Amino acid sequence: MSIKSTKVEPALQLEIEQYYYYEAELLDDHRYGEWFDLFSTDIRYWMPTRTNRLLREQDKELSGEGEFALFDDNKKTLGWRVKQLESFTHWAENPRSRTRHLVGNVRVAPSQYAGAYEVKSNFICYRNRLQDEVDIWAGERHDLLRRDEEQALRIARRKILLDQNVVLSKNLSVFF
Amino acid sequence: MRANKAESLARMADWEHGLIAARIFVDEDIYRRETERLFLRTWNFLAHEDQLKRHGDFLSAYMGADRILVVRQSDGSIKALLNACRHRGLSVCQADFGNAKAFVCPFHGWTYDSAGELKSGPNLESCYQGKLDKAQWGLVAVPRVESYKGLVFGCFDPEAPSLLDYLGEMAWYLDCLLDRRAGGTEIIGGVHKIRVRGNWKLAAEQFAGDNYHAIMTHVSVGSAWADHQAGRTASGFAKILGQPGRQFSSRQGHGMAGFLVKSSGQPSFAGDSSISEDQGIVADYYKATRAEAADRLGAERANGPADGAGLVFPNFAFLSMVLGSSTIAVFQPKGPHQFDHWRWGIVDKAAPKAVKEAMFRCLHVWPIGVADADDGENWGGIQSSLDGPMARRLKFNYQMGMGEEGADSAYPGMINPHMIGEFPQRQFYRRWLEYMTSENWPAVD
Repeated sequence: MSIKSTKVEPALQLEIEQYYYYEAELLDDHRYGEWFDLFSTDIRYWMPTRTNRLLREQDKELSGEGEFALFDDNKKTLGWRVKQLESFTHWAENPRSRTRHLVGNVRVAPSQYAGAYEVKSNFICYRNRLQDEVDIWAGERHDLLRRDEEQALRIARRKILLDQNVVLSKNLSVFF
Repeated sequence: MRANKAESLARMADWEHGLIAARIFVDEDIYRRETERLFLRTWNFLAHEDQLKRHGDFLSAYMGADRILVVRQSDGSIKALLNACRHRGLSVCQADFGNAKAFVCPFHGWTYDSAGELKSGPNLESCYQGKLDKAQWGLVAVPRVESYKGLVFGCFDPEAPSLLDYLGEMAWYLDCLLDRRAGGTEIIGGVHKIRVRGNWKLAAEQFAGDNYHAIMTHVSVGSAWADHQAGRTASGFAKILGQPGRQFSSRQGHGMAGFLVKSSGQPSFAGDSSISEDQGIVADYYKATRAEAADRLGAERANGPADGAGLVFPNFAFLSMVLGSSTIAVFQPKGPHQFDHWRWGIVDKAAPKAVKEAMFRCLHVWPIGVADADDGENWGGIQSSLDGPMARRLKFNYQMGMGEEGADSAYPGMINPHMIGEFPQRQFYRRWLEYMTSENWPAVD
């Protein structure tokens, strides 16, 4: 899906960008519970794997439905990850990593659903951990944003393309 | 090998006293020696047959530090080829997997067919004045490729025993994963690959024998599920792993980290409906198919070793029927300080679609999931500690359960009569030392 819309209302563009900045702040401040609340109850939080393919098979680069994914969570399993992060015994995040999520290239298009938007954005996340460990992840997110009954935006679907084949960090104890 | 080198290695891997030197995890020379003396001699996991369905289907694999192409042939057989052009060594295929009629080197265009035979190249006849004997310049084929119940392994050493003899008693345990039901297994699809900043042996020995770590390393998995199962804390894991059990090891270095000895037959780790509906579906499936498994494998295997972690020496691991899924893994060495952890989901081919889907949804626990993140952290932490010269002089304690091992009429191989111990790790390093110090393939009495 390519989003070429240039007619997005500036107010809407601004609202969505501000929403993403807020989301990034929640993650970087380790406020995982509040971050989790941004997602609708029917969320699919999905990060397929990226494979190296022959160019004529490039369309099969992403792992498909029902195949191994780096994340393929619903609200319940995503909630488990959040609970684990909030525990004191998740060694991958004890002590806490320092992260900085930067979100840009926000492209908004109307969705087939009323009050919902298809939004693509790019991200870079920098992680600094313990004394000198550094990870940098770049990628793209495809979101379905939907307004709830109080007109607040919720993330109803998120597909994340991490720009790595072998995941080069020792874990993915962060969210994107 | 010079005698003093062998002696020095024996002092470092002093398995008889349960003392293993930190240096074997960080030393560049030891790593180089592993790539030659270990991985060029052992049987190395390459693929599951299910991943190569049609002629020309290929996937990229490793045997130790060497890149390998595994290719389904026109006659249905599987070949493994060194993925290095015979002209200047460039990889002739950079894709992870796919289907191809030919592999073309992008440097000068030497072109090989799916059997690895050199077929053509730009001006090949004229540039060599007709003197190039193409038959002599095919890709180097791995001389021995054999399968065990769907798992394909390759071996470079002509002196090594057959795969079946190499697996030995391990095959009896592997059957619990591979042969529960008619039709065998299949791969769920896709693979996880993640780079861990630790030595590959840290992961290998853990799958061979270290159930002990789960109590502390994975305590936060219990926190994740705290709402569902209040008891799954560190003491909860300690309780589960404190039950009567066994550890298996073989003289070939294989091991099972620990399995319960039960009479009920209910696999204890297979899944828990109080954690999730999906785990319940999987647990029910194992219950429903237990009679068939017992029929095929016998009661001992259907009841006990069917669920747990194991290692086929040196770096192929599996986790069978644990928390809703089964997975297989390879720890690809990338120098002494890091390895790539490749992980696949594996299911009974005969399982109903709904069960396979439930198993798939349970996979979030493992490779990038709530369990493995903390393994990656701890393995990496060990490697960081060993930067220090004093830390490198440490000898680690592998003495748990020393002298407890023996024979067991119910289980083949050498058995530690406890659920937790370090007997398989000692046997792992015993075998490792034999490879590292032997001039030829190290035969076992």
